[in-house]
Amino acid sequence: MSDIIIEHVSKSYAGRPPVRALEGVDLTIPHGSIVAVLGRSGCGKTTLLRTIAGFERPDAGTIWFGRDEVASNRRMVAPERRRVGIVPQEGALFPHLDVAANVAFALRNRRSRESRDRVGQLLESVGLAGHERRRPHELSGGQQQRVALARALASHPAILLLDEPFTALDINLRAQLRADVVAIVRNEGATAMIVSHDPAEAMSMADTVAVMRAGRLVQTGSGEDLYRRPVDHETAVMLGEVTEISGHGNGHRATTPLGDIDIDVDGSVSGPLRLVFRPEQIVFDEGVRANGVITGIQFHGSDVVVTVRLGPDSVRARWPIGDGRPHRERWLVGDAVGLRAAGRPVLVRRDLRDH
Amino acid sequence: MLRRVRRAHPPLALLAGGGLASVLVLVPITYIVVRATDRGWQTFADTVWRQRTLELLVRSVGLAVVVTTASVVIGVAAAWLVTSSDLPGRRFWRVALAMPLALPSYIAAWAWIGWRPDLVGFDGAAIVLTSISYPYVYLPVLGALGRADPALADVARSCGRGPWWVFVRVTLRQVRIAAVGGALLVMLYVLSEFAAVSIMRYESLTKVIYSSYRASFDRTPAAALGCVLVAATMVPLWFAVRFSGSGRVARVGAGSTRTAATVELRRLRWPITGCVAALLGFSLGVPAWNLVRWTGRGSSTTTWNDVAEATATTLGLAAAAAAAAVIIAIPIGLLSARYAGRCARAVTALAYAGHALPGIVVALSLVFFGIRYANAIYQRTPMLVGAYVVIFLSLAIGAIHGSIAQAPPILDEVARSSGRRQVTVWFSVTLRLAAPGIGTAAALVFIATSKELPATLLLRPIGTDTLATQLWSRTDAVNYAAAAPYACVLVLIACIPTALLTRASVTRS
Repeated sequence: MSDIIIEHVSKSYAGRPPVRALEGVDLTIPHGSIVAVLGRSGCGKTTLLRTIAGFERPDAGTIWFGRDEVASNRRMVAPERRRVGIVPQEGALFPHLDVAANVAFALRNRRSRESRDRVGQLLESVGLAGHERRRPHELSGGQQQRVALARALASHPAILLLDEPFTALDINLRAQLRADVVAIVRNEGATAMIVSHDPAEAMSMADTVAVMRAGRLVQTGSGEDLYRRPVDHETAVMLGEVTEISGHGNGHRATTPLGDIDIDVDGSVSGPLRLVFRPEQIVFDEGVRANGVITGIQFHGSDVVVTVRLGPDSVRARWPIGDGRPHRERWLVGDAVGLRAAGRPVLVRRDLRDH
Repeated sequence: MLRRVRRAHPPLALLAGGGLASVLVLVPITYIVVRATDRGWQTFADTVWRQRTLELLVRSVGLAVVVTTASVVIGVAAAWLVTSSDLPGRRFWRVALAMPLALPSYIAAWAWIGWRPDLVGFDGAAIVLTSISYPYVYLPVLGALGRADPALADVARSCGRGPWWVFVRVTLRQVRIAAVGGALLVMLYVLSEFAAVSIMRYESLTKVIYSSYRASFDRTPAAALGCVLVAATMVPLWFAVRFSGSGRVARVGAGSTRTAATVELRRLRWPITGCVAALLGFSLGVPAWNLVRWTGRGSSTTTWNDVAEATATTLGLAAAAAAAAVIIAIPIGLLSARYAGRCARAVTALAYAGHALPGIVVALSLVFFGIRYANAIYQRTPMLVGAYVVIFLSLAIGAIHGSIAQAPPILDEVARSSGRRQVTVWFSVTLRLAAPGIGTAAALVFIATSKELPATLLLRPIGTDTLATQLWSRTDAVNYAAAAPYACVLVLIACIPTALLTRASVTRS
């Protein structure tokens, strides 16, 4: 099987001081799977993508496409000989070619019947059948990205690289397109790497999410693993909103304003701690004796985000309002409410510096 | 998002192209010095340190300073009037005011001296050169005003500043770099101008270089004066680099652009309109009227065969020069747009240096070079075309570089990932997208070549005449009527592409 294997890849750019874009990156993208590389701007994720595509040469390390060594200190296979499909951020259709010619760009024999069939089939699968003769400027942003996807898939690439492919689109279109792209990529049996700074995008699309920071992969795993068990506070924040409660360590439990809570820590702990939760884990429970006071309520449609003063802390909790009752009939600022924690904290911080 | 600095090594083909262009430009620069000091430094120093040389230098620089000052005042005022005031008929003026750019200096000079023979000398040369070179300031300032953020002026007004304060402290500051760039062009142009000063009988460095080359067998003085001229052009270049500054004038931060509110001219509205009309009358009206007048008188004596022949020669040379310049400029454009680095900067800087070199100096050094080392092509078409390329290469590079830089590099990368080699990608994608810029480059070189005079005079194959040389020899013999048909055809050839280019640039800005 032709897995994509990245071994100890490093890359820095000249500058004062030199920018270390990649530092010893190890990542395996199994054949037929989708991997997301999640990180902030400038963390090196785009450099990783460009190194795989062959536009950057790694300073050290090796990249394998199956058994082929495509980049190492001995070999550097040119981008045009790697069989890579790229879907860039935006505006990357050839403006001088129509939709069919764009999709057929990577095909060998563009006029042959097979090519035409392939183009037709791809446009069908991205939902743009009948748009063959359109020009890129006549398409909406979402349609352009669909054409770019079809173009990248046309020659059955060894790997499909998507570089923040939806950031330029409006939010409603994004969710739809994400689901479509996953379906199309799976249908084609393609191997794909998607680079993103949006945790929702990474977690919803990929089998494996790799979190990148300052040129290093800090954690790799399924989206849910990373969300529930981040290795550190920064990763926890990268994957979604967090809220903290102070507590006191007591062996494998912590005493908090929400009662005693089981924690996962190596060995037993004592002394002050901060317990990091996702806001949806701070649950409103009418059966619990009032332990906090509401200081703010934000309406978010399907739920409300409530700020509660809880002992010494101000915590943010996310409560669903699925029953259709206006939230004002249930909670008002100043109300005393009873809260409890659902599940274990995603992280326990013993370093009590403020972040 | 942190943009990666491209450190990729440029492909050999591009470096070779850039190297070829550098050699092409370096030959005249070095050879003029070699030739001037041929007979030892003493002879060189003797020629340079004569009082006559100093006089000539003062005359050339004096003319350049006066014309540049006048051009900046006229160019900035005109650009401001057509963008920011309620001048009636602004759209028309906007295009019309740029048109004198199409007029060859010697046609303007011919028209003025045919109308007012008493204007011979400094006054005439200054009027003629100002009337055709203010667009070098006007056009870039027009562009800068179009890009300037009107919110700055609005904020200044709302902070209690008057319109005059705003004009001086905000608007002028925003157009400063454009105006300095334009002034530099005017300065370089006037210093190296040869035809108009000759027709106006104004003894400048260029005119004396030409006559000293023609008059005697000893060509060292011509070469030495050429060095002085090159040194003189370096001074404004240095000033422009030193004082254009790096002050930020671009819009900082996002926000939609709005069109600026227009300033009402009130009582001055019609008098100012009159001034603008007079400006156009001087710069376009006088030549046009003379063209018509002399053509009427001259048509009976014209040998139309000669006109046709000269037209064909001009078109052929201009087309050859345009093609050669474009072919040489493309690798340099790719180099500087895609592999920005020291190498690309050096080649581009050299090409611009070639443009700053006076045409007469380039021609002179190619003459010397040709006699000694390249006899096979001396006074043949390839050498003449080579001279045109040296002089006008930067025009082509500017246009081509800009359009390649506008073609998104990500498209190159997508194309390469699709399995195409780099060279194939350049031809099938990059240059295809840059086609409008390549067209502009070809048009610019074509126009410039068809008007070029000094290099053509010195390097043309024997018996070959272009429209420009025919016109020049007739004005030299004070036969203004006979020059008219040549002037007519030249204006027609230069006007059409200029009008198209001006319109395109005005709409863009």
